[in-house]
Amino acid sequence: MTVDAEIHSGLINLQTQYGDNNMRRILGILLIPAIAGCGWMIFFWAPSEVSMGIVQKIMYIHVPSVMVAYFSFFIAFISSVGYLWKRKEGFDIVACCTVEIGVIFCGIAIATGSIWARPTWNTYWSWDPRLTTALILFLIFVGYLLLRRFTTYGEQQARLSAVIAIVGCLDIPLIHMSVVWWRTLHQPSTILSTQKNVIDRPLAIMLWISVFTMALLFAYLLSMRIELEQKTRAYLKQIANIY
Amino acid sequence: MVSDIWTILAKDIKLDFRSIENYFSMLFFSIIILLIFAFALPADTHDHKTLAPGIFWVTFLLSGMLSLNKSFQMEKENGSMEALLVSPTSRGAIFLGKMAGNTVFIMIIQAMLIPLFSLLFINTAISHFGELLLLSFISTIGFTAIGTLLSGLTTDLRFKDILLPILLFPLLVPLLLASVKITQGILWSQGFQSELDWVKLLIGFDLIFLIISYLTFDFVMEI
Amino acid sequence: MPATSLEKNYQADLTNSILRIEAVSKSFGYRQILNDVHLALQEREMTLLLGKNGSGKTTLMKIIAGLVRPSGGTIFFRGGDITEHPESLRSAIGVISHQTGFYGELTAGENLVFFGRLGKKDNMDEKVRQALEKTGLSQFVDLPVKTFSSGMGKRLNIARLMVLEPAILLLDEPYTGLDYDSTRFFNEYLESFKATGGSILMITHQIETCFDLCDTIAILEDKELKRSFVSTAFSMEALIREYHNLTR
Repeated sequence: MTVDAEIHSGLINLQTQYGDNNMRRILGILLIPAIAGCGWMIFFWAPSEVSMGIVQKIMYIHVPSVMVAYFSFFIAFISSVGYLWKRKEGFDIVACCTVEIGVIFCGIAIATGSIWARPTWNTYWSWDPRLTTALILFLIFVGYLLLRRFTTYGEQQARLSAVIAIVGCLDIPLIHMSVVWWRTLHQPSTILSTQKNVIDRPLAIMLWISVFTMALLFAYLLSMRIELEQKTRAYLKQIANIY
Repeated sequence: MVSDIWTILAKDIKLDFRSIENYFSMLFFSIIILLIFAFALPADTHDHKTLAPGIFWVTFLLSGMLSLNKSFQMEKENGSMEALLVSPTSRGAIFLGKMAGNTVFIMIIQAMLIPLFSLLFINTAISHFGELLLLSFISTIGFTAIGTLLSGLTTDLRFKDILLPILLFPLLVPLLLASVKITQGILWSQGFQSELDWVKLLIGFDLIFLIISYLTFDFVMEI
Repeated sequence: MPATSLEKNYQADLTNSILRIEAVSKSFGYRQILNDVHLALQEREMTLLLGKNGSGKTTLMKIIAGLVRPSGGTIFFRGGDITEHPESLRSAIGVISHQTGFYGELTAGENLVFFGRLGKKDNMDEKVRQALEKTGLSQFVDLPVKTFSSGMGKRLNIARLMVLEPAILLLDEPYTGLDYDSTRFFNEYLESFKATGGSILMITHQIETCFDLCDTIAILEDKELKRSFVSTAFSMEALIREYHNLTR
C-alpha cells in the first residue's frame, strides 16, 4: 500500500474505532436550552441587587467560573497523581485537558472579576485576595502548559507535567492564606468576599443555577477536548509507525 | 543514606571552592541587582524604608536562581549525573545532597549580602545581622526545596533558563510575602515575635515542600 | 548464517542467568524503539550486542542500568524482580558509557573515593590505590580530571570499575579512543573479570577487538532480539560479514 493509502485507511479506522461520542452529544443537546434558560433567568427573573444594579449580574459568570476553575485543577491533581502511580496514558490525557480548560475558566474568572471591580471601586485591579490567588494559580498552570510545549509527546512530558500539577495544587492553600493575610491588614474585607455570605434567597438560587449551567458547559468542553486528544494521539501514532 | 547525603554535599562544596569564580559571580550579580534598585527607585529615605525589604528579597530570588542553575549544570558537564543515578544511592539522597549544596552556597552569599544591603539601604540592618541571617536560612530551605526539584525537572529541556523562573516564582509567592513581612518586623518591630503568624507560615511552607520535593524527585530523575 | 540448531535457547539457560530480561519494550513518544526483547546474561560470560545505529542497543543498556524505565516487560536480577529492589541491581552494576562521568575539578583520587563511597565500598583508600596502580594512573592521583587526555579518562573509568567491583559490566563502546596498549590492558581486565564470576554485556562496532572474549552474540534488529547464538558457531570473518550486511 502506498503511504497515502495507509494514512487514509488509518483515518477511517479511527473513525470507526472512536465512533460518535454519545456523552458529548447528550451534553451538547442539554447545554443549549440550559444556557438559553439561564441567560433568560439572569436578566428577567433574578431581581436586581440594591446597591450595584445590573452590574452585579456579572457575578453569575464570575463566581461559577472560579468554582469550575478550581474544580478543574482539582481533577488535574487527582489525574496527575494517578498517572505517576499507575502510568496509564488515560490519566495524562485527563490531566492535560482539565488543565487547559481550567486555565480558560480561570482567565474568565479574573477578567470578569476585574470588569466587576471597575464600576464598583473605580479600579480594574484592587489586589483582592481571591482574585490575586486566582491570578497566581493562572500563572502556575500556564507554566504547566508551557512545560508541555517545551517537551515532546511521551512519557517524559506526562511525568514532568504531572509533578508540576501536583506541586502547584498543593501550594494553593498556602498561597491563598498568605495573600489573604497580606491584604487584610491594609484593606477592609472586600465586598466580593462578603457577598456570598450575606446574599438574599432569589439571588442565591440564581447563583446555583448559574453554577449548574457552568458545570454543564465545563463537562461538555472537557468531553470534547478529551475526545480530540485521544483521536490526535491515535492518529499521530499510526503515522509515526508507518515510516 | 545520611552518609550518601554528606558525600554528595561534601563533593558539591569542594567543587564550588575549586571554581571559586562561582561565588564571586553570584556575589557580584547580587551587588549589581541591589545597585540597579538603588538607581531605579527614588532616593528618598522614607521610600527606601518601605521598599527596602522587598528589594532584599527580590535580589535573593534572582541570585538564588543562579545557584540552582549551576548545581545541575555541574552534573551535566561530563555526564556525571548518569554516573550518580547508576550508583546504589537513592534518588532521595541525591535530592537532599543537592539541596544542601544549594543551601550552603546561597547562605554564604546571603551572609555577605546583608552587610551590603545595610550599607546601601537601611543602615540599622547590620545590627540585626543574626536575625536576618536566621530568616535567610529558613527562607533558603523552602527556596532550595522547590528550586532543586524544579531545576532537576527542567535541566534537560529546551529553554530551561526561561522555564525555571516561570515555573518557580509563582510557587514561591507565600515564601516571598512571609519573608518580606518578617524582615519588616525584624527591622522596625520586635523581630520574629511580632510576625509569629508569618513565621509559622514560612516554616510550614518549608516542611511541606521539603517532603513533597523529596517524594517527587524520584519521578523527575527517571531518564 | 548459522542454522537454527546453533541458536541458543534462552529458556533452557534461565536457571544460571544472573540477569534476565523478559518481554521488554520501550517507546519514546510515538516511536517504538524496542519490542518484546528477551535476553539473559550468564556468569563468566560476555554477551556481544550487535545492531545498526539507532536499533536501540544503548536504550536497552540504559534500561538494564535503571536509567530508563521500560514501557513494558520485567527485569530479573538473581531471580528477583528489580522493580521491588532497584538498589540490589544498581549496587552490582558497573557502566562505561559515552561520557566519562567524572567531575573535572576533582582529582582522580577524589573522584574514585566519591564513587566508591556511594557504592558503599569499604577499605576505600587501599582499593583506590590499587586500582590506580593497575591502570597505570598512580602518578596522576592528585591531578584534576579535566587535565586528563581522553585515553587517561577511559583508563580512569576502568579504575572506577575496579574500585566498585560490580557483578555485571555494561559497556557501551568502551574501545573508542583507546590505543593498542590500553586495549590490550582492557581486554586482560575483562578476562580476569569473567574468571572471577562476572558477567559482561558489550556494545561495540570493533568486533575484531573483543571477539576472542565473546561467548554469546545477540543481534538487535527491527526492535527485537531476533537472533542470538554462541560465538563458537562461526568464524570472526563470517560474523563481520554478517554485521556488514546488517548495517548496510
